[in-house]
Amino acid sequence: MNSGTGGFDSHALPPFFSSPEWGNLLVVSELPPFTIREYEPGDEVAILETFNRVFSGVDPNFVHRTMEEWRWCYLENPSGWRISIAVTPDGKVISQYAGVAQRMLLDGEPASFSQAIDSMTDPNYRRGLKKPGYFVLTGYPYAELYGGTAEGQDTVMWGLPVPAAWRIGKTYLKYELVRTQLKLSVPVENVFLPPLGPSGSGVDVEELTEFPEDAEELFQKHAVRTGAMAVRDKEQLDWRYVKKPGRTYRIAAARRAGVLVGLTVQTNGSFDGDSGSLVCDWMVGEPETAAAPFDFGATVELLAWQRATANELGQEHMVALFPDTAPEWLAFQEAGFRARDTSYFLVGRNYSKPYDMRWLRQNWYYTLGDTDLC
Amino acid sequence: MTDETKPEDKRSYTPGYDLRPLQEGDVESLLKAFNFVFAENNPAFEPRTMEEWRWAYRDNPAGTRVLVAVKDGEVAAHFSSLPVRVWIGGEERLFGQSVDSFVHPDHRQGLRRPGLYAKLVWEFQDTYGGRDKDLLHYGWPVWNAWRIGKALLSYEVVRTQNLLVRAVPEGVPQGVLQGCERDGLRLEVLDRFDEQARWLWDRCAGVWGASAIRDDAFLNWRIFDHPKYKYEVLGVRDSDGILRGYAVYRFGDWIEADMGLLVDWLVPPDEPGVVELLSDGLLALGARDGASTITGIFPDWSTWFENFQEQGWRVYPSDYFMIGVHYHKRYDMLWLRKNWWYQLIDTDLV
Repeated sequence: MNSGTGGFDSHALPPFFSSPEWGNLLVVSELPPFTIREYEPGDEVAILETFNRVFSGVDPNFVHRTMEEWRWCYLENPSGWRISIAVTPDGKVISQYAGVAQRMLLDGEPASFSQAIDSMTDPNYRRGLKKPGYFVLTGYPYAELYGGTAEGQDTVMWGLPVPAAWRIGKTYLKYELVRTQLKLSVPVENVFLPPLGPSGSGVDVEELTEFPEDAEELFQKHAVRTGAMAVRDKEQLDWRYVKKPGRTYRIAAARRAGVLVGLTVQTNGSFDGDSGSLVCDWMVGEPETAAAPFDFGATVELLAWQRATANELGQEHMVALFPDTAPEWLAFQEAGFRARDTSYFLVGRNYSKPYDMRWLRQNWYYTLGDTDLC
Repeated sequence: MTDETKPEDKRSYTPGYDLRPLQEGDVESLLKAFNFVFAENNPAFEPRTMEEWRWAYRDNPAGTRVLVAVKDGEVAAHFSSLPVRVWIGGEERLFGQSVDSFVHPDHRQGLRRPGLYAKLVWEFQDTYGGRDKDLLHYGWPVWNAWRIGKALLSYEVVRTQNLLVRAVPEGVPQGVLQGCERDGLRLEVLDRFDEQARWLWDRCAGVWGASAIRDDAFLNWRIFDHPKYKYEVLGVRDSDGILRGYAVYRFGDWIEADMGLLVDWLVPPDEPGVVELLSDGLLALGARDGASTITGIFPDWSTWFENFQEQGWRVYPSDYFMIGVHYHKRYDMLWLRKNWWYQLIDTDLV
């Protein structure tokens, strides 16, 4: 699974196989000596060396990842890291299956998901027509180690794979489709702000340089409307949007009488060919009335801020990502956004029976900022 | 597997049952079992009539695909598809929509897997699916069928299905339904398709990788000859009498009761006058029937998906997902997702 802008090293993948048989997976006698194990401190140099070589080989626009970026992505994530690597005796990393952990609120209880990213195999170690490839050989122990319902394990692993990884993943790693992902986009000039009542929204919007301490209270209010939502507390949000190296995000908070009722994040970028102003994150509080499923005033004011920010930054389009089952999906359409197809499809693997793909489709709230695509 | 393969060597081998294509003498037993099974836990179920069965399976211009498992002269299980002629890769081929499958409760095998159902489906797939046979079997399964299908029957998801929904405003003028003319185009109610349906489809299908061939044989069978549902077809003709576009509408129950349904829409690109007349006509039909909304589906890659949103339709989720079993490597789910034109008419849901 990979959703990185660099793209999965599809050249390293074995071809599609229709009949997985675990008994045949580890024909180690035909492989060069290697060890599959979890990341250990110090591996990052070898991981990065392989990562940059592999991805620059398949993407001419690839920008080398720095150690600072790698450490931010994995070691500094407050929710943790997931890394399984295949290492040769001389310390070279020939394959990786990795993920970004997410602390979750799942049916009101703490849990963990992880997004699989940065999977790679050194093309020098392609296995040709032999099966399985290193993608599977590193992915299988990854799933064994990190997937499950015990503390520190992921109830759901998910990702936005390229087709080659999807074909392998569904065959060997129990990937299933959550949804074919649509996006919402709109020319900035077409954004329509629904009228507020005569007394207005009562909301003040302020741009911030870091997230407020009461972000978690707002998260709890938003999360109660969903079955599953990644934790958005100050620590997690600051890591995601304030401390991320090499990228600038704009953050806005909406308050009514001092109470935080909305947070949103913007960045310039491109998603699935749509360049413009990306709505990275979106979280609003409970409704003031029964007329809307969320805080309508905060929604209008934060949309106004997103539009103004896009205009200020000279962007002509705005793009957002929500599950089509979220109320925001329809609200953004009413504000002028239009649903469009993408090349992405959200896949997952659940380790707890109730949280199957249908449940996730109906109950899981996420935004573009949950992915590594912005 | 070849036709010469011995039964006991087939993956579908099921001692005690005869797995074979339906024979004329099986139909009464089949209908009896069908009506028994589908009435289970469904008090609203209306028994299928012989007329309905014959329409679906005997009269389909694309042919018949019905397999049964027979024991002691009675139909114990059934798996079938409604074949449809499809233009794909520069040639006419068949897809099949899987429908109406069941195993009679007396023949269900509990947790034993694979059970009779899976073996019957395997027999169906081995009989009718292949690079040189049906290229795709598809359907919108209920959840339990999906779980069996993905585990044992090679089911894969083409897409999770979104709906396009248009609110029907109050006070929509009805006059448009009385032979409205604008700019040399005339809206009329069609009572039968003729050869011009194919002409129209030819104009539209060039940009689609795969599409059921909408000609008079298919459309008249699917729409006008349907023994249970009443459809209304709005057509737009130019001053030469040439059909420039049509929309098929039905008022009925689907996800909810009393829905306005856009069953099929066929209009070439860049025909704004045709779009306007048909859209006005659809809203008028919805308003006439007291429908609060009209619902349809379009592939999300098509220009119509965007065009309809600009007209005021909104994209909603649904619990449905299109699945397929493909028999040609080129036409896998990823390809179908980006290339296959289908609408509600391509399902048996409405």
